[in-house]
Amino acid sequence: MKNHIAKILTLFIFLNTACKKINDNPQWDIEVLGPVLFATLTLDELLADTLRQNNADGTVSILAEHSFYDFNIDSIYNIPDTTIDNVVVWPIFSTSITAGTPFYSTDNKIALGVGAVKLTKALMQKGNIQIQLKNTLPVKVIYTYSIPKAKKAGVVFSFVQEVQAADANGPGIYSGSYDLAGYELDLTGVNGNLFNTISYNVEAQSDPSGNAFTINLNDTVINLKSELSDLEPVYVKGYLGQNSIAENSFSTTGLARFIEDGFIQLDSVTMDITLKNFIGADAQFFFRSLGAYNSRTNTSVSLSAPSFLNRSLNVNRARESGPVSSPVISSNHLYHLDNTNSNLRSFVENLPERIVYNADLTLNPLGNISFYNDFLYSDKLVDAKLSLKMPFRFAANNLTLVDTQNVSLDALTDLDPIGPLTLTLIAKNGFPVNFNIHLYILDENKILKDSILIPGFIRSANVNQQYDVISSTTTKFEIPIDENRKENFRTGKYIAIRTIFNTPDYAQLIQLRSDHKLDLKLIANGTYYIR
Amino acid sequence: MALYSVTELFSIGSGFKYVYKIDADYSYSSDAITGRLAKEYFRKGFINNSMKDEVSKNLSTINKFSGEFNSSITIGQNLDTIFGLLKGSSFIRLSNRSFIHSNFTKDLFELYFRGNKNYADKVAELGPFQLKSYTYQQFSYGIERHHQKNKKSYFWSAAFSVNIGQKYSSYDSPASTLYTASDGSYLDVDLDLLIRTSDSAQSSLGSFNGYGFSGSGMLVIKDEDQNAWAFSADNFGYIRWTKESAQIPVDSVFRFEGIDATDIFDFSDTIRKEITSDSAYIQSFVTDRRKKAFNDMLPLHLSASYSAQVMPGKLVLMIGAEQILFSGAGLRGYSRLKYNFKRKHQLALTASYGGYTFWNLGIAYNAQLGRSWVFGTGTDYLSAMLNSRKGLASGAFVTLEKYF
Repeated sequence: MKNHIAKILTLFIFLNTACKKINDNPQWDIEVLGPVLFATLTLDELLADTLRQNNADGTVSILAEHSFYDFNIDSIYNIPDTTIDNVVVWPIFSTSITAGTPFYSTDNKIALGVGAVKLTKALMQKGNIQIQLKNTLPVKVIYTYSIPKAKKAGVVFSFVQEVQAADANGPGIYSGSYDLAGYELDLTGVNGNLFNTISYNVEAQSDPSGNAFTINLNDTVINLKSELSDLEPVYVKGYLGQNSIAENSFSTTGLARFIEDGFIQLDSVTMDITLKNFIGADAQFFFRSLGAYNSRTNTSVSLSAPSFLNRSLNVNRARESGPVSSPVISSNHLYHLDNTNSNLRSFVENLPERIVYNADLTLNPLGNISFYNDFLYSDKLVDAKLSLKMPFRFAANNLTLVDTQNVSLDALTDLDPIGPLTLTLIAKNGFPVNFNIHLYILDENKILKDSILIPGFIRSANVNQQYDVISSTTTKFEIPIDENRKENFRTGKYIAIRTIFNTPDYAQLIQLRSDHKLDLKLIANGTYYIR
Repeated sequence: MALYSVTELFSIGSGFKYVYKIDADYSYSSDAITGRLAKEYFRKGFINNSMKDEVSKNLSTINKFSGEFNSSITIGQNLDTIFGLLKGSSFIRLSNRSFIHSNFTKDLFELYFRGNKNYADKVAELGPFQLKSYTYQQFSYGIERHHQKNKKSYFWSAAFSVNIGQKYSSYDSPASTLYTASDGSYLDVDLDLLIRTSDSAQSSLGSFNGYGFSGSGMLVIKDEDQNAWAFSADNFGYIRWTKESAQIPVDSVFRFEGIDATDIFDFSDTIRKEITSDSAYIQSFVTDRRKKAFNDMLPLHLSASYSAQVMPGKLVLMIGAEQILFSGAGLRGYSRLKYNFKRKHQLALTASYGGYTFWNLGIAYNAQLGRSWVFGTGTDYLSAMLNSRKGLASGAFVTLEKYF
């Protein structure tokens, strides 16, 4: 009976599992025709909010800011590494010292060699003090080292260190390093009438558990070496001197990274140059020159602006506001340049890759009028910023922008189900600008693997005699997708976009408006594998 | 359904104490979709254009198909008394049942298997459309009795079943359309669709996604010449799919113009966004997705037949009709000629029309093996299966019985 049941059950299970499946899913091919993607691009999408201003009349202005002036704090002061030896001998007749008795104490100071700058306070963000103590006495000595005017969270810098007795091999020696980061140093000495000075105290005490001993005239009781290194204050106060700092340098705008070719003509341009002084000392700027250098064309346009260049520009001292997050209220001075008081338009039309400048900065031109209340936060010194504003009214002649994005194209979508098909890109252009767009797929070495959108010419919108858009134009591109191209998509590591801009009738200026738009639609027509 | 079977022509069956029976059947039938395409679909193979072309020739405005797979194991016992009331037999049966049926439009088939390219500048009528499939396990207890009265013999059986729902899905659309713009720049979709599915988190064998009850009954009346009337109703019942089931009504008219990729060109923000296809168009369909229990009737097989002893004990002619309610099937009529060889072998030929398909010829063979085994196999769709390219149905059944 059991045998029969087993046979029947086996057959039952077989019947329920016998239908073998070939694949995970049934498979066939379909022919599809339909939209895949669409995008509506206005200047709102194409330009970052910070670069664009939509005006009430529908026109658009371009805003650009660039900080170009910088100098190192070392130009104002520099605290060198400093080593001080302090050797003290017993000044009187022989004396018996009992156990546990403080038998000598001395105050001393370390003068920081910071030149003409007279600092009264420093808050350290970095710094070390290396201490070496030598004990030549025949007993163990307990030293207490302190910097009474160095405090961190209200606690005075201090340490106690035993140094073993001298023996036949020589003196007992202790070496130790202590971190000064976070300490606020009063640099006015013991009596508060000095500058750039760290005062410290060393006290020697006999060993409480040792024996009494005799100390004789000229016995060394303190032999100390103090070495200050890598001192970097985040904040200093005092008198910062009358330093004059010359800067002949340049800053990079980054335009060369994506502008490959072409020329532009602009309409009116305004530029505000803001000088911000974050130092608690009066500052006097003197700009000898400001140049726009185009490394692609190797041309340079020097700014001609008599109201700004080659004259002393005084900027008052900053004020301390108190909040830790932003403790300084800068003192600002703004210089406005436009087409009437400068050659600004030529300056900008040169599409500068570098802003080249030659400038002097003098601190405290009137001397120590703050009575040692100058201050300086090391992370914020001065800032010179160009703020450019121009109507988006321009003419472009083969202005060529390139950009390369590191993308994993295969990750964008699963390409396996896509059979031979044609993607049609419909571009409905409402901008009065001709675009010629090329897309390239590059390998990991940025070697060209495939070119898409050739030709990629998108004709400008139709314009009237005033060059206002009266209707958009439609351009279609067909992009065949075959196995080779799919493979290029799979293995491509970069996609490069190269766009050539041309405005109608160069150098006629064309105004771009916030209601101009470019409608893009991608349509698929071909085979899709159902798998 | 019951234990009543081909054994009436064999020398065994009466007087047995136990019978063990295992059987399985599958069937596929359609008035348009060929068995060849269906076979590739269900075995998850590749469907080529030639297969589609054969179907396209058959398509009318509304079409239908059905597929079924059943297997069961039965243990029956002759009893001196059933519940102390009467003498007869009882049986228990464990079954696994799967059923799928659909009514669909010509355009839906073309769109599904060929894509929308041929519908450029045309409206594809996607409804009315219904597709329902379910798999469930069934535990049945039945009794049957055989007695004679006034020279007539009566056989009846009744069974009660508990159904365990494993997997369910249905798509029901009274009317839906898709318009493809001539250049493919947009699709206009008008969807009126109700989707119902059992808990998709668990759908393998053994999953409990619903429960229900059903009953079956059969009556056979034979005259003194062994001519017989037979009536049966198989599986009148339902399954209540649990509250983890999903109902998704979609009533939406929209124009699809692609996935909005504007954000990937949006340089106005420092954070580059990514396009998401699901959130844009798919999720919007299912915002009304709700979890809800619901009842659904099982396909009820009704049949009636008359068997005439053309050559008593040797040749029987059966004429019958059957209808599957709660499905898309039409009435199916058939005639069957059964010939018994030496009461050990039986060959049956069947001609049928209707159900989900058209004319078909079938064949069945049963044999008594030794003294206590009966084996049977056959198909109702032999003609369709022989016509491998154009046949609209396929099916087979196999049964094995052991008497003690």
